[in-house]
Amino acid sequence: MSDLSEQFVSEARDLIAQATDELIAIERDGVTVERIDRLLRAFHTLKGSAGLVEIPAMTLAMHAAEDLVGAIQTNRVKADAAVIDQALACLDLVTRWVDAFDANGELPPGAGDEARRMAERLRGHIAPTAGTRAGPASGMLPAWASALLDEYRRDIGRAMGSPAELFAIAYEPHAGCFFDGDDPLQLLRQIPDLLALRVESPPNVQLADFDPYTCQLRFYAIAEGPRDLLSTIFRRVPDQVRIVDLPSDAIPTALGEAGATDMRGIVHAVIAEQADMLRVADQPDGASGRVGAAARSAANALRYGGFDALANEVAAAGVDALAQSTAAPLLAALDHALDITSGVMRPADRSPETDGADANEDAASRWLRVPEGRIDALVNLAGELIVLKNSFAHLARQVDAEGRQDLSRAMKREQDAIERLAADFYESILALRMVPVGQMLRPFPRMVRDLSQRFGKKVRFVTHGETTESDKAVVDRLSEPLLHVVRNALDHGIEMPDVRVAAGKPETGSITVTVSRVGDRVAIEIADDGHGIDPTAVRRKAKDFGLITEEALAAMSDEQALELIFSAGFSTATEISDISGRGVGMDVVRQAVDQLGGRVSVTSRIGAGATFRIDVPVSIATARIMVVECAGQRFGISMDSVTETVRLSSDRVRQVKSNEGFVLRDRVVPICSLAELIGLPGEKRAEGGARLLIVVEAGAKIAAVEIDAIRDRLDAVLKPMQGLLASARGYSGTTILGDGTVLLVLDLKDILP
Amino acid sequence: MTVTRRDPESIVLEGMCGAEDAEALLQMLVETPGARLDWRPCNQLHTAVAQVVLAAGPGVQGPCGDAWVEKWLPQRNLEP
Repeated sequence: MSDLSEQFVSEARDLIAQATDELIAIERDGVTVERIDRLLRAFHTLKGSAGLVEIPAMTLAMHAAEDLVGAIQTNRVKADAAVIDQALACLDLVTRWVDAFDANGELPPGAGDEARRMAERLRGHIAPTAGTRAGPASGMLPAWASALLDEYRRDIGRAMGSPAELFAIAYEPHAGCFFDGDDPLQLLRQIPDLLALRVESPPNVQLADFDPYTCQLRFYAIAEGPRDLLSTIFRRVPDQVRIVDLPSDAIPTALGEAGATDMRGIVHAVIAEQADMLRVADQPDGASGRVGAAARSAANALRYGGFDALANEVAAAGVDALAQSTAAPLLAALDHALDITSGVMRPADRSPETDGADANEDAASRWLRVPEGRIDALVNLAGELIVLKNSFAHLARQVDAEGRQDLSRAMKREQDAIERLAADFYESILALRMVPVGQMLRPFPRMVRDLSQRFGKKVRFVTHGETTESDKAVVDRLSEPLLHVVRNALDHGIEMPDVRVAAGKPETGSITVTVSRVGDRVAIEIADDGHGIDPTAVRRKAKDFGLITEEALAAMSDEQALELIFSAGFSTATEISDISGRGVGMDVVRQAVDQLGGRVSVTSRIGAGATFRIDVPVSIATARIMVVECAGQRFGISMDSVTETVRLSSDRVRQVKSNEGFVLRDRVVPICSLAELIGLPGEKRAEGGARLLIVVEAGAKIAAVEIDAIRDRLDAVLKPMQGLLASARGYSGTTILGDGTVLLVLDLKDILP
Repeated sequence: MTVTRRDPESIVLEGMCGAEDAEALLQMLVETPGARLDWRPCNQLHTAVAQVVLAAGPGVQGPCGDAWVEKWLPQRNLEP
């Protein structure tokens, strides 16, 4: 996939999300100028980028969506639920297209028809009075439009290629429009098929009194449609512009008339011919005759076409060329004339995105989009650097041991610097992965809206603290469980409007998500004001499902009983809805949060609602773990603490007092058995076989820990020990292996004798 | 700055002439009522600048480098 397409896909997804946000906000809090502006901009940019990657179906649909929003902006359409629904449905369609484009590089077959149907439905919401096809009779035109038509009728007839929808545009900018950042000419430039333009400026001005920053110009134009395109161009200045349909019979039928052929085309062709001739024959002999003839022909053609100034320029260039005996000046003038007569403008002139406001905004929020994989690669590299740094420390000690104090001191100094730098480096790179939690909450308002509509419930979704940052890996893994909790609140928590009213509550329920940072953890609270969770019902279900014995239940407080909803296979819903009753319960939430090294809990008050609290580490540091076997059990050992592994033949083992030891690079290293260290019944080792040792250094201590086998090496997320085990010495945490078993990870430094 | 005085009697508009150039241009035209305006090197004219040109109606050395302006701005009161 080309860079352009990749950029299109990622930008389009962002824009779709933005537009969705704005639509939901408009529905919830009403129309504001800024929201409509942002929405228009999102649709407009989507349309533009669809044009860049040449997917006309999307351009068509976005165009219609833009019209609908434009109609909301000018109060021709009310942004009611039906209109918002339609706009959201359009975004859904575009989402599917973008997915398809991402996967296959093209839209699914039939996209064109879908686009047309979507455009019709979108336009169906726009009041039928706008953009009537037939156009009014000439007698009904406003005076300015009739005058304009009379003045330019002939020119238009000549310039028009084929009969088309014609519009008269009166653009009377506000006197202070320059201060709003408007450039009326810039808007007019965007009219693709401008046929006539009358610019009115105040007569007899005293220059000394002239205020250059009061706009005193008025513009009256005739242009070909379509109307919605014209409306789009002037969407920011609806109060300063009038667009009226011109009757189709207002202009003499262009086709078949003497002046029908495009004048510009003829002039352009004549000049091009002269330029070609000059280029082919730019040689001294007989050149002067050709230069003179070319200049005359081109100038005549230009005058004929009404380009008087250009004609003069070409004629003057011809004189220069003759004087200098080279065709170059004339060729330059002809090229300029070709530019203008072809109607081609410089890209900067044409882009609607070059207005100042956009440029400023871009500068204010400039982002660099980096693929996640590249950041991960950096994190891994930084991790390797840390490991390398550790071995450097080992090297320094070795040099020290060999008596090279001066060298070892220097090494130690450098090592300290490297250590600081590596730590900072690692931290900065981890910070790259920090993203606002709001990113994960983005799809929620839409989901809550759609679901509450389906249930016939009224729900307000509120978020606080969405700018709180967390590691992207955490944010990504949290979104599923969070989605589940919110769905549950909507499905089981919030009551139907009539029930709420009867209970003396506001008709509209609320689900509030509050994110906050507490130390190095992120706390997420999902609170609803529904009917709460009934501990009695939870007890009954737990018993019915056989999750717990009656005695155990009886010993539980209500708070403890509530926690049962996180048990596997638990569901309190009496009927299974297709929303949250998908055979997965809150146990999935607990599992997901557990894997992040987090906790989830719930509190509830009957009639007042339930609150779920999820608490996870800000970032999940993955640790490199070695899985070893000892006394028939598997344990994890953090690779950070392992200096090396040694396979030792038994004849190298020396008895030192009551302990065993061996000599490693002139240093006596005591050997201890892992089974003994952690108090497992060790099996008697067969005499004479090779022994497997892990050499561990902790501060000044060094030891070789004997194990039975090394099973695996893996990157794992360490979960701190919890509950009763939280204070147990010697463990750095647990991790869940691929096969689902829990692996205890040992902190060898802590348990060395 | 895209408005410059080339010599006492001529003013040049160059490149993108933004709204901020309108005042400078007006000032020069007020100081030198007979000055000629060379707008060939200009490639985009802001409305504020255009209205100063239309109001002052100086003699121009064209065509205007902004093709759209050359095509659509009325030049009947601008002496060639």
